[in-house]
Amino acid sequence: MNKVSAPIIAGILLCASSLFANSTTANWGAQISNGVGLANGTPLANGSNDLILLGSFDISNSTIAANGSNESFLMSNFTTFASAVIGQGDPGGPGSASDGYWTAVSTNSASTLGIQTKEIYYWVFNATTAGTATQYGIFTAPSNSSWFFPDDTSIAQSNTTDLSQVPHDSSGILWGSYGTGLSRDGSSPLYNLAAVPEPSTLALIALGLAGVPIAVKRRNRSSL
Amino acid sequence: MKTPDFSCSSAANLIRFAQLFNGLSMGRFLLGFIVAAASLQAAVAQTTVTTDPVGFLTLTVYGPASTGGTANTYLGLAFTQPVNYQATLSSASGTTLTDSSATWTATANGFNGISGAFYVELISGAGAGRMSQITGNTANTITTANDLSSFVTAGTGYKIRPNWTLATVFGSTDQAGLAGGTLITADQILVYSTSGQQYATYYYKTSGIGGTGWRSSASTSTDASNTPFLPTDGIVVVRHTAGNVSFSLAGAVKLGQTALPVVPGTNLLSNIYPSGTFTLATSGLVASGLTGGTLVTADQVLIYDNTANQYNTYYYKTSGIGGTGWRSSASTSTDASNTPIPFGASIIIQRINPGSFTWVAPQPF
Repeated sequence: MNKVSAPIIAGILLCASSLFANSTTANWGAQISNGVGLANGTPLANGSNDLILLGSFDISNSTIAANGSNESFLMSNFTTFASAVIGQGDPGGPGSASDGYWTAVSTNSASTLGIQTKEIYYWVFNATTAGTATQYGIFTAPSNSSWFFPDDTSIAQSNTTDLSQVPHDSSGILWGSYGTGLSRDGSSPLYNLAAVPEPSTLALIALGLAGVPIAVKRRNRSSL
Repeated sequence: MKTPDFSCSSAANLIRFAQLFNGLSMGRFLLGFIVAAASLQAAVAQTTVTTDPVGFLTLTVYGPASTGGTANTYLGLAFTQPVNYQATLSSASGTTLTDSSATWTATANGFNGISGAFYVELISGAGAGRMSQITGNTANTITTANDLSSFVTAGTGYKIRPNWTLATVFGSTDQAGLAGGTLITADQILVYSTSGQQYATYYYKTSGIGGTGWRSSASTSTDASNTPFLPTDGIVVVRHTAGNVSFSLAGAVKLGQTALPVVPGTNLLSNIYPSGTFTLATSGLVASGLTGGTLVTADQVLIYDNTANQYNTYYYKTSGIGGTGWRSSASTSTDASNTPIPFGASIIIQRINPGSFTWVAPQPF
């Protein structure tokens, strides 16, 4: 095969595979036990519309954990399959027993997104948008075969995951913690978010860092 | 509640049956005419000669919004082929069923010696509704693929019917109108094997090496038109061509309960009945052994929504927030017990718990 025909054939195969992409129905949430709370143990309020993303990273779990507070870096390596909000799918308002929970049915094409067979992650924010969150948590279950997007290339697929399947250690909680606070009915410990620098704080830090070379330069000049 | 008598041994019963069907909503399907199945060959001396009522449904295969997309349709074979032979068994041992009064011959009985073309259903006793493929026979014995002997006593009733095939469901030359072509471009017919936990793929080949006709993905040249299905087999049609295709499926209405084996893993099963009240609550699934629990611990029932192109997932919730009962994955508290199992459709049962069970589906009309 010559050098020209190889990419052409690869392109044709890529087009053919995406041409007939199917869909995956994802059933996901925290509807069973172990809802989500802030770092201090307060359950995220039903009706708060706090955001949860379902998707997959293209970096390793150790890299995610090592860069847990670097939201822009993480987001640039994240493919979103679907989103939901706290309280979705369950009755009750803030302060109800279903605080910290959600139930969602989402359909998208994992193969079109290029994340078929890739590991599933829940990314939970304490705000309605990722950019305004001051805390978030990243959760997965790498040892659970359900926590991988199915290959929906040939036929539509269904997948079911739940936050309660996430291990309570660093293998499943890549950013956040477990066990601070209880659900509203007092029956189950929460998965907790962890603080991240606010965008305004990041801007100040960036500004401060930008000023360091200037200060160094002035100091060097004055020492001459 | 009185159970309707659908035997077509009298004109009055035919009229009653037609009236019942006319009074029921058939969803997107159209019920055709009801006529007596006069072609039955159940003419043995000690056999009560009754015929199953027959009719037809218009089945729709959904297409994607535009050609090149993908749409999935979960079809169910809501009828059976007409009964070929009906009588009572004398005894059974292993996979051999004996009817001492039978005198089957190759010329008088089409199933004689045609392996895979016919199946037997027990219609009375503890195993009523159980089916098995016939793999061979003698003048008065049937060999079956599955061991039904534990359900058979002297006098257990049985029926022998031809299997549905690609040719009898979709037409020997694709009269159903599915898109033909190559394995890649044609509409694909997927039949799930519970034993292998994988799909077998068929399509109507229109040209090229291997000729024209029904083919499997395993061979471009071997005629697959006589590939047999039990009426309980679910079928998925994956279509890449825009626009829906409708065709009629005519056959006999299956009477009595139906026993469907459910194994760990994926089970694609047809709703074998064409009408009646057939919901999650009346399906008999929980009573038969479907395991309840939470969304992630319970067995799941998946019903495909062609409009939304997604699965609706149901399970029997046994505790926790939202209470007990049938629920969908979209809400832990909304009662889903009246969710209909569609006619002319198949469903998926995801058995995530160990062990098999037999789903005994009661006749819904």
